[in-house]
Amino acid sequence: MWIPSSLKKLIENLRKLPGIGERSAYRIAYFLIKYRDVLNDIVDSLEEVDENVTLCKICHGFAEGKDICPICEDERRDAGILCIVEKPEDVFIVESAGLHGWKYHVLGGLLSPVKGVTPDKLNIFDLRDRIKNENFKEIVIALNPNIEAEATANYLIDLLEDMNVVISKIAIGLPQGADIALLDPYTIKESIKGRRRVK
Amino acid sequence: MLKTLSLTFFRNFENRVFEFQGGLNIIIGKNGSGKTNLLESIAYLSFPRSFRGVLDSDLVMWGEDFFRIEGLYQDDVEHMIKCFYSSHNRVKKIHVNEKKVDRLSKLFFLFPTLVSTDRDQDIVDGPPEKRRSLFDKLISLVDMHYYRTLIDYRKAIENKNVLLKEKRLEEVKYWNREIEKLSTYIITKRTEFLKEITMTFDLKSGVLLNGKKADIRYFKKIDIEEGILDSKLEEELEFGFSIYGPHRDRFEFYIEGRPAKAAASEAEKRMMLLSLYFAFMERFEKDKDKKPVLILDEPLSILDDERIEALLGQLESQVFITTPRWSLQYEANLIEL
Repeated sequence: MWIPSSLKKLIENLRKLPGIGERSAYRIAYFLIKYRDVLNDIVDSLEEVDENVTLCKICHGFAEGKDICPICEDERRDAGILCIVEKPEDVFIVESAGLHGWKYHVLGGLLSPVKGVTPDKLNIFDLRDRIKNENFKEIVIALNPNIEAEATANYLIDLLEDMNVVISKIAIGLPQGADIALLDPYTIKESIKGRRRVK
Repeated sequence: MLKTLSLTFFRNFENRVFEFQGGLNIIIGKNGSGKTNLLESIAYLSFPRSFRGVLDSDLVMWGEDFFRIEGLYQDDVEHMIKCFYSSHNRVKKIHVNEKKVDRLSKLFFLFPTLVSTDRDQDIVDGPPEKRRSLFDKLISLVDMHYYRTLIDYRKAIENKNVLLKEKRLEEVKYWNREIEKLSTYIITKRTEFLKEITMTFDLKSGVLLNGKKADIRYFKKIDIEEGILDSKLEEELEFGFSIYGPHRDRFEFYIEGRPAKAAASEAEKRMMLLSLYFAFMERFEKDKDKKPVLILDEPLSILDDERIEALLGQLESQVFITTPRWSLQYEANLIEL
């Protein structure tokens, strides 16, 4: 079957994207050829992102146009709380909770000997200095509740043990709007363990 | 109970419909007539993989390129379970009441089954992994969190083994802490499960073993307390992999106080496993309000008449039994192949 070689190349490249199989790749490619204005917009966006989006030298989250991100530059963020997350995009998720004055530190992965992720591959080499220089009082570990994250948290707790900071982990438990009757015993147990005093 | 079953191009069944009854269903046929294939198709509706461990493509009739299994299962209401496999594009599709099933494990809880074959004797005889994985499976079926914990535990052990192999000792302790937490849960659940089923196991095995006393014992490789795994580090380093923890625990069958491996006959071994299944079924029913359907491949050939009577007397749920011949005066639905 003959198809234009540039189109074929586009399809091959689209298939490298997460969640895109062969059929989706064809569909997207034909769509872009048909709607050239969308295609040009996307080309512009890709170029812009490629040129401008970098990783912040301080927190290793996303930055734009310069070495340091607006969160790290923001002097009003003086709550003294540093939140540790796995991926740059996790910063936005925690931020969307509307927490005021927090700063972030992106690990860029989780410890996993099986996948060859060793401590030196994570962004932790500068963590102690950061805590000292920026005078953080509390470290909040906000990682997904899985086994690699737990091991990574253990590592961080050890690493920061002699520093004068409170270390906490985000709670595991009931999602908002959940019906207690439908939850598994483990989730209920975890939320009971992490209960809050209200009076 | 499973009311009807329709097979298309499944193994040696080109196109055949079966009707079953609630109690005992006896499948009679010569060697090679497809008795076990029929059982395999029933079990497939519950756990869509061959219990004989063959690939889906090997279940397709020779010369055809798909098979279909359709079963009508009734609990409070009727459920039409349809399994379709195409060897052409290796696609497996499962529908319940015309709705696509995405998580295959859901099927088991809709239509639970337990399969007993002559390989059961190997479970009693064979290496400890076989018994451990059987118990892990049974406990997982009544406790989803146990299953998730096992997966986490295995991952943690895999990671720890890489560290031990590469002699990166500094990092092992971060995994040990998690392994200890998970181990405590696993060991507690195993102990609890064994306690919960003991009474029924004693009762059933007493009947099936003609009054002989059978028991199942759980041996922990190590009692878990905080820091215990770190203290074993040097020893594990010598082996190059993790040797302490519930992945090395053992379950052993005993008869009259002696290890069943050596002391029990082949028939007795199978009866012990069946007693375990009966006890599990009761435990499962307590939680889920339904009793698994029991699938027994040729259980009678190694039993004497007295044992056969004893076994048939113990059956409570819907049961499928294959046998080359049947002459007993027992209320049963006979299916001849």
